[in-house]
Amino acid sequence: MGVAASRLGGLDGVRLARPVVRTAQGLVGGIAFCALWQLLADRHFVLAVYFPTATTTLRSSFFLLGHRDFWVAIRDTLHAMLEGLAISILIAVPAGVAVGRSDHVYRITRTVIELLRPISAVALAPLAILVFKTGIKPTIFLVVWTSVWPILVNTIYGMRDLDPVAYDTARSFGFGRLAILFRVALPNAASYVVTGVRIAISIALAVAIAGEIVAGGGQGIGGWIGKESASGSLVPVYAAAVIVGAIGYLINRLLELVEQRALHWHESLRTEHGR
Amino acid sequence: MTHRVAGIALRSLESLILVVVLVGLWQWYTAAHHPLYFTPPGDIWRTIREHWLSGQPSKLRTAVEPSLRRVLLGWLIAAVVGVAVGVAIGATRWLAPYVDPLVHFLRSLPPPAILPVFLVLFGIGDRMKIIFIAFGIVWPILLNTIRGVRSVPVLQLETGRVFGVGPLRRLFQIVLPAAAPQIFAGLRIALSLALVLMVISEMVAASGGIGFEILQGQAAFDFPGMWAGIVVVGVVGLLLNGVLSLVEGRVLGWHRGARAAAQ
Repeated sequence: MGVAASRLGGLDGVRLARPVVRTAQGLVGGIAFCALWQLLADRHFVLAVYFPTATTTLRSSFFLLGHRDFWVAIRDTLHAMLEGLAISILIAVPAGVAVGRSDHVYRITRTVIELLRPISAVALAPLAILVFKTGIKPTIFLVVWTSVWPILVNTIYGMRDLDPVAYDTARSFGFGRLAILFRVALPNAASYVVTGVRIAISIALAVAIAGEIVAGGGQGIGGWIGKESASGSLVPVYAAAVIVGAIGYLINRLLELVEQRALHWHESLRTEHGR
Repeated sequence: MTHRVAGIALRSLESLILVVVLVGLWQWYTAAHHPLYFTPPGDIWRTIREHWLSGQPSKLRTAVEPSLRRVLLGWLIAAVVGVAVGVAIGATRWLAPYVDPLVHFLRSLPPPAILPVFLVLFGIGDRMKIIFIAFGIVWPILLNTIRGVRSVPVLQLETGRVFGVGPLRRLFQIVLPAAAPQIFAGLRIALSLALVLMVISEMVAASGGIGFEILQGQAAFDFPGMWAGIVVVGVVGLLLNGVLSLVEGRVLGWHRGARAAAQ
């Protein structure tokens, strides 16, 4: 339905104005939310330092943008998250291709994957501290553990979902095994890989911060929030949450755009495998 | 016949062989080299048997039960709220451009970043953990429900209206069944996130639970205890996922069949 609407709307100047209108409408929704928040907080059901108004929070967020410590914390968290994701992709994509290519390997590895995947990352935090000591490494390990599974499973799906007709056609045109892998199987799996990465990223930021709270030794956003909330006022925590939420929002939106632009030709984009 | 039996036996052997080999390697390596932090599987199993499955009181009662209660209650609250609000937002089509960015923003907010808020507002007890889990995981359910409801073909809704189907029956017999696959995808993401939030809330606000046991094991250099907790978290996750898959299969079984027949 959305596709049909945008095609109809693309005839004249309507198309240019649409993003502007959309943004304005989104802003209206955001302002309405903040107004509601302001009203609730102004009634003082709880102490103002525990539940500050929207204006106090946003003003505090604005001031935070000028704090060097805060930016260092954000840099550390994003560093852990991105390095963890990069390692996950380097592990999970080749592994997924190897597993997905062969029925035998798939059956042999399936149980191990199904057994390891539900172990939630934070449960491994105490072990990560023991093995990787302090600093950024335990957090990176937790991000890797979380991200590897969705990317791996989606890559395997993508490799196994290959259309037999496409495979046979390529073979009858005399393509070798490597050529089929690179020109038929991998392009087919690409959209699944991207979906896996997007699911991984949507959880990676939360796990990175969780890791910093439990195992980060005071580093990153998790460490920064721990220090600030110990001071007795929660205003900096709310203020930081607004900024971190905005960063997460931008990352998610950017990925959706990349997914739509790069793989618009692929029909599987319409469905999402939640695994 | 014997071929088929042999085939099934071979397949189940295939699916288990790697697990057996890996556990065997782990046992052999840890028994031979005694690495400090890695406990042999045999010792982990003994700890689970002696402290988790039996003992007075067993940790099945003192740790697993509270953890399960928190995860299930948090997840159920999030599911009810997420689906109800999601249907309302999804069905009100003019509302979409106003609400979508806000929901996406709230979904992007990493729950651990606001854990201190929940600690201060709701204390360190069960109530805090349940509310924290529910708040943290409601967004993927909400988002997927909105998407699912919006993807219901207009033609189906109009047909229902033309044939005089009331709004409530339209909701339960047209909208929800059509949105079910998306809703289940959201519920599944929410479940794995719920386990993460359960463990972290139990580690930060120490008052019992599997997460508390894992951290306690590490702090007390009781590494078999730590490993036992990790294994139990995995088993709990596996069981919950399995139950959800069963329900999903039941609910969506007709769906796949109908789709396949229509193609």
